[in-house]
Amino acid sequence: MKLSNFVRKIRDVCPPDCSACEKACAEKMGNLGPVINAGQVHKAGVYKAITCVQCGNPACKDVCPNDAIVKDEESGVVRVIQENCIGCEACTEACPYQNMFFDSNAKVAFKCDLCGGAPECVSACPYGALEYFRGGTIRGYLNDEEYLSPGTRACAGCPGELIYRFSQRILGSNTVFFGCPGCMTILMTGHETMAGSRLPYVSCLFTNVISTMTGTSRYYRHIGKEANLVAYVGDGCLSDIEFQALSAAAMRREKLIVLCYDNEGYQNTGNQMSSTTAFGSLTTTSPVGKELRGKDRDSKYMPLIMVAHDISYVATASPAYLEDYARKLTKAMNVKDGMSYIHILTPCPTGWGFPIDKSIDVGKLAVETNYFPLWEYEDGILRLTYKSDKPQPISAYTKLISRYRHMNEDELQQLQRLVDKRFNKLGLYSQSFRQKEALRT
Amino acid sequence: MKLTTEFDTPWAYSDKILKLKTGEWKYQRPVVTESKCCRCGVCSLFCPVGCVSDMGSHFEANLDYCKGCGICARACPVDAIEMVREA
Amino acid sequence: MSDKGTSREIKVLDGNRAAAYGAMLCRPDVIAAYPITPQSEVVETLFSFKAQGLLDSELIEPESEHSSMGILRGASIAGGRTFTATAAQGLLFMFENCIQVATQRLPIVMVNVCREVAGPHIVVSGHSDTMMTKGMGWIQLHARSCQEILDLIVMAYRLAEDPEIRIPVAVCYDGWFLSHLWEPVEIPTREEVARFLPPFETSPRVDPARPMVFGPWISSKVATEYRYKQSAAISRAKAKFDEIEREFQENFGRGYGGQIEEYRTDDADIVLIAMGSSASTAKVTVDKKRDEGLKVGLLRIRMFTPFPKERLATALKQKKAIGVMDKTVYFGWECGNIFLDVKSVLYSAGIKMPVLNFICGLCDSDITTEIIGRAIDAIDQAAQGKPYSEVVWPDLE
Repeated sequence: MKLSNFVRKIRDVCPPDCSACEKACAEKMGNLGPVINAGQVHKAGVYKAITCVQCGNPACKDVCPNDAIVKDEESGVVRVIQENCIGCEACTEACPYQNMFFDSNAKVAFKCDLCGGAPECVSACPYGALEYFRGGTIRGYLNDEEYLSPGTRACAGCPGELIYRFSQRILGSNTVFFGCPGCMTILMTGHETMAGSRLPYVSCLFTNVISTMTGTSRYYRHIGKEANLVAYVGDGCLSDIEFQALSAAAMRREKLIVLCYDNEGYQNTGNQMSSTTAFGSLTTTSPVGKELRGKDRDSKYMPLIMVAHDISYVATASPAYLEDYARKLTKAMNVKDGMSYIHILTPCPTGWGFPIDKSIDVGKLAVETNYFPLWEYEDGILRLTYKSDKPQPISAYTKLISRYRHMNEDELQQLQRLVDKRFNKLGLYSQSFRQKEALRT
Repeated sequence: MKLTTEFDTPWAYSDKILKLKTGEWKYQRPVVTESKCCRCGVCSLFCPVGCVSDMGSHFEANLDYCKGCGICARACPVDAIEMVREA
Repeated sequence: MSDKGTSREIKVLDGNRAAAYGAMLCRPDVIAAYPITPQSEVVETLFSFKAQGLLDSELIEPESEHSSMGILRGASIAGGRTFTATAAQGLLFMFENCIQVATQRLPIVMVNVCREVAGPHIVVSGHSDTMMTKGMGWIQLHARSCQEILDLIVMAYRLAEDPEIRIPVAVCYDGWFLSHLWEPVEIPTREEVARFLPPFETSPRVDPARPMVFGPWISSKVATEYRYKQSAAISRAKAKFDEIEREFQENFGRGYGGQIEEYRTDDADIVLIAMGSSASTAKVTVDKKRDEGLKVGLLRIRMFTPFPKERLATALKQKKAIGVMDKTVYFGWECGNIFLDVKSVLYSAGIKMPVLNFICGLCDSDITTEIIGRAIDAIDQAAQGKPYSEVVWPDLE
């Protein structure tokens, strides 16, 4: 099963007079003319494609009488071989999305070819409204096995489940998962004689995931056995009760892959506050009323703490950026000399309060507002793996989520300051490393 | 004394996987317009439940397990999926 | 230790070093231990063995005892033989993991160097750590000499790893009184230990080649069944321990009597029950009293959990009175733990006789021959039908 690459709209911010994308496309296409239309881009909804979707079984290819249309195996791009085009325009009629065009001068069909992998429209957009979605690349990271069947107890719309599924397909069968009571346990742990998934799983106490994994890792090393040992545990476990154990295992350079799914609270037990719960959040242990106004302090920034331990690999990830996560998880798997830690934001519709179809949206906005920047750390260098051209204010994120609903202007500004401070700190880290690099050369 | 367990402590073989009929949860279901589906695979990629499969001509959710979250409809780049309320 | 280890050596060792030798001889795959007074030398000696190339284990100093036991759990479920050592606060810190490990039937062996649990805070010898954890599901064996510590560790692995048992074992010995007491210890050769203790094999285990879930959710009825199995298994350890010790005696020339060590109890009218290093002083006192004409015997409890009720009932059947030395008080009962256990055994066996309790040796107080002598006298008084106090605190009289 292949996945397609295409450009899609990710923000609904096009001013009526802007046509930067169309202009950039026209410039690129030269004589033939643009393959996108600014007006249509303005009308398009969020996540809708604005270019040709490079269909799995393209109608245009089917109707072409002269084999002038091919789907490139490698890149997935549907391409017109102009020498073979006889100008019959069957393809322009056949395309259900009006993404095939005909040049009446040259008498050939033409279409979006994604500019060879760096779409001009995306870079030209001054508002960061477009994204090049690389489904094909994501697919390349996944194997075909279905380790986790559907029919799990996770809430509808749970991105934690999505990430778990996705991770298993990257990790492969030479993997042992370790988990503890929490949201994802219900997927992992199985019931009576039935397992949660086809991959082996060790159920631990809330307090001994890291130490149990260490034991298995050390024994495997002792007998010369190699396997991916992966913890898929929550923020409550790693940032609070197992923080001590995690810190020590990191310094001992235990060969573990630690995946933290951060739903900012103890969600499995009903949304109690944890160390990673954001400032201002409403939880059952940081309620809102006459005397209390939600969480009164900043959250613990776990991934940067892991950087301070100088472990082999640290990264942050979001379910809205699956290619980024796939690349990072692959890197984590290849670490041989110590711990790798990936902190994944998994927005919780049940605990945070947003519609169940908006989980990916929230995961995206978290990144686009710089609330949850995407970066990685290895070999002593920290670098951002995604930088939004036009970061949005934190209110764009908080207005989607009920747990921030009570916050007034002052409180939101406070949160904005915390977000900015954290992002600047990251910027300083990565900049100072770049400076050091510059000094070295 | 009637003892039914195989091991001394709970173990389960991983070849039998627990599958609950979570399809019963949903209050809305995804309806795919086959002619509109471009087979980009984005719906199956983002489906948290992993119940969307390639049917050849189009992609479709397995309603036995679909929880009706609607992420597939939201992610579909060509609006080929509509969430329809269950009766 | 000679490189080839082809002949037994006699070394002067303290209890901690004897424990380290015992562990080293059994070739654990993974050792994780956190230092705590009075056990630190166990860990230090193991590390020095590794540095000298005498120990081929994965050796870890984690950041806490809780992690130590967690690490052993992870190694054991993957098929490894494991070892740790701890005391008092450390034992309590790993308590939840210890309980889990016992219910998961993992044959882990540890050494607990008995020390008072804090409050009021003193770092001294005592049995409160051992008593407060007696219900955690582990087999507890108590030594009274450095030689016995080493021997018990070797036997502990045999016992724990036996397919009919599969219960973790704690070899306990008194902090300071034994951990820091230097005695000559005969160290068996690696080869003979290897013959006595075959490599650890287990199935199922954590292995991607044969994927399984370790610890799925279970219903109450199924959980009850597992509890029952665990209870039956730990009870089987009693007879099994006697059997293993007989075999140990055949192979190594040393035996201590199995679940209980009986000293001059056959023709005794009165018996003193003790556990741990105080039994050595009690032995000397019993001899003195015998010289004075008193028909007294000493019964030392070696296997504390599971409690050796059958052998105790047999040993105490015809006695006129007994006394139990406890190094702890069981709060709320105004007496000691062993005292309660013994009374329960006697009741079930239909044996009725005066039973006295001597709460002594708390918080490092010396248990002298004088104190034991007075205790024996009190038991004798009771045996003669004279009035007696059931619970006595000798240090406070």
